[in-house]
Amino acid sequence: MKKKLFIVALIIIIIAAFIVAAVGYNVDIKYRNHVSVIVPIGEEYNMNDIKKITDEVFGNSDIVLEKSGLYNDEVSIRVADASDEQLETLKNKINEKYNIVQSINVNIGEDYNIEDAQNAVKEALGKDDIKVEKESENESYISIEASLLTEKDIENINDKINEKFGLSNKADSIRATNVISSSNIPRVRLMDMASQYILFTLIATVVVLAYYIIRYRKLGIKDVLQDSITVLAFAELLYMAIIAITRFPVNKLIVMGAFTIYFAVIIYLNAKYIGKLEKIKNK
Amino acid sequence: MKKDYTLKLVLAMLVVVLVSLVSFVGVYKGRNLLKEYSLGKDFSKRKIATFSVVEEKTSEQDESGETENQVEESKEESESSEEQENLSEQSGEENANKAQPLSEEDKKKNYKTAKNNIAKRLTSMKSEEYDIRLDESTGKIVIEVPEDMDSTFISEVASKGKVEIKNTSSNEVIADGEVFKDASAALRDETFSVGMQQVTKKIVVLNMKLTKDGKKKIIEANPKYTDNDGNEADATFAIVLDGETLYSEDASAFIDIVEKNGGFELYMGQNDQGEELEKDYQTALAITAIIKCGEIPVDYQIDTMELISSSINIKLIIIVSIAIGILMLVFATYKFKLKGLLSVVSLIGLVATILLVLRYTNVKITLFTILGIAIVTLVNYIVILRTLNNKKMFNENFMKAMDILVPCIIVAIVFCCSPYTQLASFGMTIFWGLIVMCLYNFTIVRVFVEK
Repeated sequence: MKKKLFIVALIIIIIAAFIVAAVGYNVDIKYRNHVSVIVPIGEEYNMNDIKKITDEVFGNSDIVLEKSGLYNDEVSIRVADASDEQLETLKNKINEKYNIVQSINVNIGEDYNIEDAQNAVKEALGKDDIKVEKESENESYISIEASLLTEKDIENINDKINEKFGLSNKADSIRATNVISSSNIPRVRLMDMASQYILFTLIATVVVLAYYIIRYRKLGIKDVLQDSITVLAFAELLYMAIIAITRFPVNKLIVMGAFTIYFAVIIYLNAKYIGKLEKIKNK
Repeated sequence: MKKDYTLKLVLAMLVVVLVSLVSFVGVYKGRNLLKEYSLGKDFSKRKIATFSVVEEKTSEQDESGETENQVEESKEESESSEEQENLSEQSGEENANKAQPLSEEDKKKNYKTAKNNIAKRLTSMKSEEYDIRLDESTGKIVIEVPEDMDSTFISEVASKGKVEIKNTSSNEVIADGEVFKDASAALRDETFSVGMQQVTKKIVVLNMKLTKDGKKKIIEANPKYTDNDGNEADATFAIVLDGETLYSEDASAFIDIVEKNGGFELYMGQNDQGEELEKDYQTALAITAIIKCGEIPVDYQIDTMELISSSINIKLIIIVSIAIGILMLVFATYKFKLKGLLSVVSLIGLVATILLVLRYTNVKITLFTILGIAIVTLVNYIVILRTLNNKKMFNENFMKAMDILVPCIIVAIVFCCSPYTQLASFGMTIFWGLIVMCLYNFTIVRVFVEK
């Protein structure tokens, strides 16, 4: 029976080795290349509502939603990829749900016609019902009353204003508070993730093996060492093989699982050796 | 005899209820008097900073811009032809260097070095919980650190870190960052005389030790310089970090210090308490990290810094724990009736006590802490079931269980020494958990299990 189980486990490990060599592990979205989208809502929101919206926008892909910002009034969306169209749809759906209103300030200079500015903004945003007026405190700025925008909208506004008034302003000079931003987040290398655990786990294992050798020397140093290393390595390999075959996403929970197995195995080995030693003593 | 046992049982139950109430609900006198948990990155907010590579100017831009201007200015300003030649030679060398753009392979190598140095700096700045990501094609670096790490230090972590010892009078570089053997930051009590009184203040000290060669270089440096009028004057030497002076002194005094101490001892800031002192200490740690971990071969600028809340669903963890607890309870009650029920209920007290100890021992609460608590509780459950299942006394069963757990204790102690929060919190939870388990079992659980 034991032999059969061993063979089955070995087959699982070999299959997993091929899978890992061919396609690697299924790494959790948080740790692989992804796009991080930050949506500043500016008020309290329900994560379930956001989940519904993101499911509609990004489909059934892996999505991680987290609250962000100092007052938790922003939402961080991690998704494998986000196209401009998807961001546009996301913006529209969030605006529909939360009716976000913000004031955007653009520096045009002293001499300009407000109607020209209004036309430029309308053209940039493709909307007619946009309120644009001179800022009361500093007339070189125009104030635009807008809803939640994307970075692309801001760039469009900047381009149109520059074009209209012959300016060379940069998009980041526009003062806006509620802008959807997205950035590509590179992957975390699995080795980098593991490096935090490997050294001390190795040290701990060496000390535990030394303890086994000293305490159970009567069982044969070579046998104890060989048995301990084999069981420990085999258990962890089998665990990693199952993760690879089931395509379970590799994340911190998987690491925790590996440590649980590690503890279970060293306790099991110790209990087994104690039993064997007692048998020898009783003889 | 039976009366005594009932009394003991009631008392033990009361202790379990009391400890559970204190730990899970709190002790209120206007506010909760219990110390707050020290939450790790898993359960608190974290900062995510994105750094991008500052694009260097192309050689064409340089030729049409800076270099031409430099040459023109030098033509106008300098009177001696020698100076002109020197300047044009210098700019020629610079152009030659800039004319050779780095190959993609060299760029990637530089990005990797930058990432490794930033990781070293983060570890050196006592940020035990961080994630670092590198986009090898663009050099973009994203770091994720706990919320309590100051934003200023986060931006400094990717600073170039070019350390130089300079003759600031002549702008000559005497030595670069390689001359520093080690650097450390410490809090020290210093006594100052204020009027007639002696006042002891806590100050932050930044220690920088020089290598043998570095010491030699500085001692042999010329402490004089020639001023604009052609006269020889005393120079000023300084330690400069990314163009900012950390410390400056008359050249002769500077050399004396190096000769005597083989390094420098700088006082950081004037604050002696509270947050300001902490900030000074953090600044010293940041400088130490930069000096120790070396220069970053790439210029980085911070693009964004986001504050993200934890996405871990604590409610779900509690629900799962309760569900597992109920299963354990049902099994024990089914097998051992009232004794099983009471013993398993006592485990709630064990978890409550461990959580109280973790609060006061400042163990960071991470996902690994939860795993540690689960392991200790499960082990105790097994001990209880074994005792109820066999004829041996509780003490005997417990000692046997502890004997089996020796490797766990070894691993826990090793993990406690880890500089990484996850592993350290895991080790500390198991370490404290096993100690609490011993005390709790001999005082409370024994009453429920034994007659």
